[in-house]
Parts: sequence; C-alpha cells; structure tokens
Amino acid sequence: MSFLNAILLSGGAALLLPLILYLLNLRRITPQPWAAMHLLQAALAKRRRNLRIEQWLLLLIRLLIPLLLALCLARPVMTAMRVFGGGKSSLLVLLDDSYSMQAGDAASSPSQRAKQELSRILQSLPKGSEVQVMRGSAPDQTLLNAPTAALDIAAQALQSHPCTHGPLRLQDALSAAASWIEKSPPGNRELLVVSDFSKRDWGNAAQGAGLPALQSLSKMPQGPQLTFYDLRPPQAENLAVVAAETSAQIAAVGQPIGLRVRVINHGQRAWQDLPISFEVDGKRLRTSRLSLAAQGEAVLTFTHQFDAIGKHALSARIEGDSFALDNARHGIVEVRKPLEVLLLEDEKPRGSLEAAGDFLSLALSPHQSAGSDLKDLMQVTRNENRLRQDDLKGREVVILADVERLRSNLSLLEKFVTEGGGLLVFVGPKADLTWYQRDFYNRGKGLFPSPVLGLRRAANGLQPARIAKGLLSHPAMLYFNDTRAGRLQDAEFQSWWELGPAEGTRTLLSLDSGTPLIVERQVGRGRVIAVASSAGTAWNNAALQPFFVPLTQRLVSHLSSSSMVRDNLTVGESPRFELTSEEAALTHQLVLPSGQRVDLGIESENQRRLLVIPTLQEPGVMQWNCGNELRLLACNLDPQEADFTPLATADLEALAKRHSARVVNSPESWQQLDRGRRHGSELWKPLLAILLLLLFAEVLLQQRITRG
Amino acid sequence: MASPTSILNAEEISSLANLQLFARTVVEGFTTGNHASPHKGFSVEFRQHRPYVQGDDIRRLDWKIFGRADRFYIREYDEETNLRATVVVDASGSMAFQGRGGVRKLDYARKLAASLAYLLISQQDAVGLVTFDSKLRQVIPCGSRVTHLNHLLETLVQTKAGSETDLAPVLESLAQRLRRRGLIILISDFFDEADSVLRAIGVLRRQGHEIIAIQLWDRDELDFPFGEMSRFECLEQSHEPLQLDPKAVRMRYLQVRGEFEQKLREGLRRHQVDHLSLATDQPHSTALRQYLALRLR
Repeated sequence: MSFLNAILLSGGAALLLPLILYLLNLRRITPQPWAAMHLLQAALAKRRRNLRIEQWLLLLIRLLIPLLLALCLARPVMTAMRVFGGGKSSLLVLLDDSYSMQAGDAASSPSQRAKQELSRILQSLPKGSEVQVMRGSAPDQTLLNAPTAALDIAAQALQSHPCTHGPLRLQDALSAAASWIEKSPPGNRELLVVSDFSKRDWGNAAQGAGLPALQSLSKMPQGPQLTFYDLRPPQAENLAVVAAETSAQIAAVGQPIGLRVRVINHGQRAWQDLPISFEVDGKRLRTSRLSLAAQGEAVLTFTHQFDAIGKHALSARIEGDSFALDNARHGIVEVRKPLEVLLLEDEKPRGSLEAAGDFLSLALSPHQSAGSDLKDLMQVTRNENRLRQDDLKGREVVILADVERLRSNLSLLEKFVTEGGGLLVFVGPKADLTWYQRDFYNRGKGLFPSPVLGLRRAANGLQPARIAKGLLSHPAMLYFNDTRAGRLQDAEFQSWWELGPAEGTRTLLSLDSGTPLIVERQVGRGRVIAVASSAGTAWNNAALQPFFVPLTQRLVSHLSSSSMVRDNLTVGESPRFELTSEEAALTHQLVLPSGQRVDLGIESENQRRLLVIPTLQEPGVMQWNCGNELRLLACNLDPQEADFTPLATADLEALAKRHSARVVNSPESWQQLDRGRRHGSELWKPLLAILLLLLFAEVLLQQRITRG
Repeated sequence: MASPTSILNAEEISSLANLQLFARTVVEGFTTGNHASPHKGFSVEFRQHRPYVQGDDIRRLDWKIFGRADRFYIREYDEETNLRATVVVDASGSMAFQGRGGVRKLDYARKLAASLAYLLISQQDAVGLVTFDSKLRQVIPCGSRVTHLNHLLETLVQTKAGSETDLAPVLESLAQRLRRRGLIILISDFFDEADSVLRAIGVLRRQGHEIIAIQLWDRDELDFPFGEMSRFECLEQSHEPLQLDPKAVRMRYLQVRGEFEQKLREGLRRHQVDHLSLATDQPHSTALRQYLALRLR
C-alpha cells in the first residue's frame, strides 16, 4: 500500500488508545462488595452471553475508528497486494513495431517512446505479474520465449528489440493476442496495445469495421482489461517511393528495360523539383526532378540497357525527406542470354494472326516479329505438335498453344519439366478432354496442374466472363496491380475450361465467376502454368489486349527461372528458399545492406532443403553468396507503411469506447488507470464511509449495551 | 461496654429530642383515647427529669430544681399505653453493605431502630427488639422503662452483620414467639425471595400484628452509579463474584430493582402492611417523619 500523505498514517497509532484503556480497565478491576447480587444476576440473566460479544465488538470498533481515520487522512492507495503478489496480473503487450513507429526524431519516435515508457510500466507492475510482448508485425513471434515474471528481463528484451519495419498485421495480431489471453491464467488479465494508431492500420476499424478478436475478448468470461497506449506522432509529413517495378524480370543484353517509379507525398507540404535518382548496382546513373502536391503522387520511368549478363540491382531514390528508410526502392533484374522457347501448335504457322501460336509468337518476340533492330529476350521456335528429344535441347520453356493433345511421347515433356524446364499450356477449343484428364492430369501425377471439369460458356445474352479484380501476389502478376500495365479486366471470355482444385496448385488469376483462369504447379524442379482458355481469339479477346504481351512474357520469364528464389523481398518477412541438392551442399552467406554478414542455415522439410533467412529488418540490396556464385536480393518496405497519418483523437476514443478499451498516453496515466482498475480510485472515500458506519455502530452498540 | 451515646451522637440525641417533641405532639393528638390512659395529660408515676428544650410546656418545669440549681428541668412521668411495638432489625450480611459516601445499611438500621425505640419509649409504649440473619439472634421482649431502652440500645450496639438473609423462616419463627398482638417494625433490605417473605408476613398479619416494613437501600443500590470494570462480590457468600462493566447492565439492573421493589410493595399492600422505602443517605428524622406519617393514617 502506498499513501499520498504517509506521514499522517502515524495517527493510526491512536488505535492503541482504546486498547490501552481496555487493558488498563482490565488491570484496574475494582472489587465491589455488593449486597443486591440477586438483582444483579437477574439483570444479567438474559444477556450475559450477548453482552460479552457486544463488548468485544465494541472494543473492535473502537480500535478500528482511529485506524480508519488515520488511513483516510493518509489517502491510501492499495498497492500492498502488489508487494505480496496478490495484485499480480498477466499482461500481454501487443507492440506495434511497424515502420511507422519510426516516425519523427530517433529520440522521440513512437518506437523509442514505446521502449522507454513500456519499461517504466513494466517496473510498476505488481510483483509476480507475468509479461509477454507480442510483435504486431509478426504476431507469431514474441520477444520472450515464454511469459516471464522477471520484469527486468522483459524490459531488457524491449530495449534490445529493433524495429522491424514490417506492416502491422492488425487482425492477425489481435487474434494471436486473444488466443494467448485465453490460455493465460484466469484472473487479472490485461491487454495493452501499444501503437501509433496510424490511419492506415486502424482507419477501417475506426470507421466501424469489425475487430472480431476484440469482440471475442469482450465476451470472454474474466476477459482482459483492454488498453490502447497512444503513441501518435505529432507530425505526419513523409515522402516515400512506394513502387519501383521493372518492365521485365528478365532481360537480354542490350535489351532496354524500364523501371517505373511511383512517389507519394503523404504530408500536407507541396514539393517542387524534388530530385530523384536512378541507380544501377549502387551507382547513380541519372537524376530527374519531380513536383509533388500535398497528398499527391507522381510516376516516372527510367530505362536502361544492360551490357553484362547476371543479376543487377535497380534503385530509385529521392532526396530531401527526413525519413530515409522509405526514400529508396530497389528491384532485381536478371540479364541473361536469349531465352529459348519452343512453341507447339496443331497447325503450321501461316504468318497471319489466326492461330494461337501467331499471337504468342508475336507477344514473346515482338521486335523480331516487327523487324525491329531492338533485341528480344525470347527466341521462339514454332513446331508442329510433335516432340523429339532434339527439340528440347537448349530450350527452357515449352508452350502448348491450344493443342488437341500432345501427339508424341509425354514422357519426354515430363522429363524436361522435372529437370527444371517450364511448361505453359493454353487449353483451347480443340482440346481432347479425355486426354487432358486421363493422361495429362492423371489424377495429379501428370504435368497438368488441375483436373479439367468441363467446358463452360457465357450464357446467351449475358455479359462474358472477365478476370476478377483483386490484389495480385504472384511474382509474375505483381506488375499488373498497377492498371498502367493494362487492365486485365478488359479481356472478355466467352468460353473456358473449368479447372478443379488440386493439391499443390496455385491460382494466379481467376475469372469473375470464381473459376481459376491461370494456375501453376511445381513439378520436380520445373513449373507448369495452365491457362483455361485459348491463346488465340477463338474464345476470348485477351490476345488483343495491351496486357497480353507483358503477361505472356512474364509468364514465360517466370517459367524459365528454375530457382524458387524470390529476389524481391519485404522488410519484416523471414523468407525460406527451396534449394537444389547441389545448392544445399554449398555454404550460404547473406551480406545485409549495412554490410553485416550473416551465415545462413539450411533446414530439411518433407525432403526439401530450405534456406532460412532471418527476419529482414532493413531495406536495401543484399548479396547472397551461394558458394562462388553471387546473387542479389532486393528488400523493400511495405509501401503502406509510409503513411504516418494518425487517427483523429475522436476516432481513437470512439474506437476504444466501442471495444470497452481505455486510452492512455503515458506511463503515469496508465498507472493511474491500472490502479483504478485494481482498486477503484483512492481508498479514502470508501474508508470514510466505513468510518462513519463504524461511528454509528459504536453509538448504537454503546446505547444497546447501556440500555441492556 | 457500649453506651447509647456510642451509636447516637449528641446531635442525633438532640434531633431525637426534637423528634420526640414532634412525635409526642402528633402521637398525643391521635393516640389520646386510643390507648386507655387513666390520666389525661400527665402520668402519676414519675419517671425522670430531663433538660428543658424549647417548646416544652413550662407547666412541667421543676421549679424546685430551678431554685436550687438555676437550671430548667422538665419532670417526666410514665404514661400507660396499650401499644406493644417490636423492632425487628435485619442483621444479615447484605445489611453490611456500605456504598460510596454512604453508611452501612446495618448502622442506619441500628440508628433507626434506636430512634424508633427512643421515640416509642418516650411515648411510654412498650418496645421490644429482634435481630436476625438466617435465624433469630436476639429477641428482647417489650418493655417501656428507660432502663429497657438502654438494654435495647446495648443490644443494637452489639449487633453485627451475620450470614445470609433468610427472612421468611425468621418471620415465621417470630410469629410463634410474639403471642400478643402488637406493632412490628421490620427494618430490612428484604433481599430475599419476595414471595416467601410476603407469605411469612401474611402469617404475622393473620395473628393480628400490625406491621410496618421499612426497606433500606443504599444510594448505590438505587442508582448503580459504577463506571469502571468491577468485580461484584457478594457480601453473603451465596453468589459467585460477577466481573462486568457496570455501565453495560445499569439500565437493566435499575429495571430489575424497580420491579423487585414494586412487587414487594404490591404484596405488602395486599397484606395491609405499610411499606417505607428509605435510602441510607436520608436523615433518620426523615425516616421518623415518614413513620409518623404512616401512623397518622
């Protein structure tokens, strides 16, 4: 227990007075010779037993009165339970460690405040309390291996925890927190959400979107006390390069490649002549200038031709903004010798845009088709639907363009893919469904990724099917998240084959009816991509859309890469790359953007060899030394993290009220809230009420005793 | 040997003398004719001389003595009377109680008995004395001579507080002793079972005795003014000591005491017995006035 006026507590010694008086009275019992004993006994007969109890009770009340009076004057705050562990609690700190917590000066950023103020909060917890800190950017990770009552260790872990710059996974984090709390011992459970409450992360919830985890917590018996620790920064100015996308993942020597850069101004200040530089392999090649209105954005494209084979890093960087971490964005491009593609079709090529192969050939090598001097990455060889061993020599990707069936031995193709080759299949109107289902899919043992369930057509008079909208996550599809690459939804599909689900198959694109349009499956070391409609114009007009060229090129480029390594990573993730047995035998080392070298380990999982990369914590270009081979990995911030705009105070209060949470913004306010939650407010009011009751009781009891 | 003056100081004797005068005036007023006195006014049998006090009839001055000694003396004569009064004094242990600032109830009773005896003998009534505790201890038959008064006083002086009160058997025993009807003045605290006491008094009343019950209380017994924790020890060893907070039981005690007195008063009234409740802090003269007031009725 602590006291606001502790010195007045000494008045509690007054409780000794009635006790001393009582003891003195006991010692000074006056012997009284008495004659009318029979009258006295008659008076006592009815209530002798009650009298003794009442007298003890009276003594107790008289002892309590001065004690309570002194306690009232000392203004007690009940913390004694903490000292003895009686008020211990299970505190889960859900720490928003996203990049936006770095806003502001290093010394006063929300992240730094969180570390310092949380340490103070932990030190003020009652003895025996258990603490766990969960990361908002990685809810499956906690700062401590297990909840600990050693609060100093928890504080140290907080201090040493770097900000990971990953996005706040709000729903996942709250769900993980709810799960943790359900498993924590019942009693005084608390959930402290420490965040900058940026509009980006919390805006939807503030506008009424549900937070199911918090709702379930509020319904939980003995649910936790929910507190929002408000670390909103005072300013929200920030410029960020939110995208730097290459026009192709793979380029040929001498082939021009574009880097499309998107810059956003999240602040209220307009920028003029903001320098933005283009860097290749760390060397600044060009600098342009752009102007940005408040809350505005700008897009510009840099082009470059590589003259050397290998992996190259492309970067776009702005200058002048104080928050450096999102001022640059990086991409990796592989420059290689021309990619050999074998295109198999049922009909001989006729040179006019009639057959499926015509469109594909044109899309994959447009410069060659147009007679331009520019170089194409891909060299397409068109063959009739027959496959010989020699046909596959030097080829990296095989395309089946609307073929009825493969008119040669399927095993050759299977061997080609298993050894790392890529296969792109367009299933057109002539497809032999029986062959596809029985031989090509073969219950999942064949090359085709999915079972073909049947032919589907758009109903007469109804709108044709279109590609479903949505955020695309496949590496080959990322480019099309920006509509400037072409609107995928412009393509109309009159007919298509319905592909069923299959194990290990991933959907790249779907139609708006929900049917998968493009699916992919790993087969051995190679990949197979199947498109559920024709490559030509028989069933759709996709080949006539602007996106057709980059789409097919990206699909083929993706298939040509035998490595499963994604070279564009995001801060906060912990990627795992599958290695070949030869690669797994090598030593692997990662050189971080800061120059720090990290030896990488390899884990086995289901006969696969996985390279484990620790959580990425800084953006930049990393070097991956794989034996003697040097590979590049780009690591960028989640672009969403660049927007620091916080929730309005009223919105935050409303959000807290909706979820029965309280908002605090300092260790003192949290401690006051915590104290109030544990013990109500200061105790002098209830103590005074008890004191008054005792005074009444004393008077009444005294009168009762006196009156007999 | 104790003398009357050892229990009656000069002031009290003087007070008694005044009382005697008062009593005589009153008694003569209502006893003349009641008692078959052969001489109206004065007795023919000389009894004694006594100093003149203011208010005495100067016709009774002994002028011869005045002539010889130049002092006023009154000549007193015995007057015949039919009244036989027996003063019964409770000398049990409870009568030994003496409150704070008061006198022992037994002392008060002795003085009261002495005063009454003095008053009665001075009126030429026959007075006897009985003292008792759990049984009769002294029984002095009635007499009316001055020497008899000395004997009574000597007996009172020698009376000590004894054992437990056992009033009912004592009164029953007294009923057997007192063959002739007369006045019984019972001086006691009556700390006994009221029903049995009243039963015994009923026996006396049926024998034709006139009874005056004088109940003595110490002021502490009336008010129970104790404030500190006390251990109440029974004077008669008939009860275990009681350790208690007096304040806690005061109201109840007063209630019980009142009920006890009321019950006794009601019982005595049914037996047509006069009841006089006296506190030992009251002057004896007050007691005598109350007694005479009772006798006037």
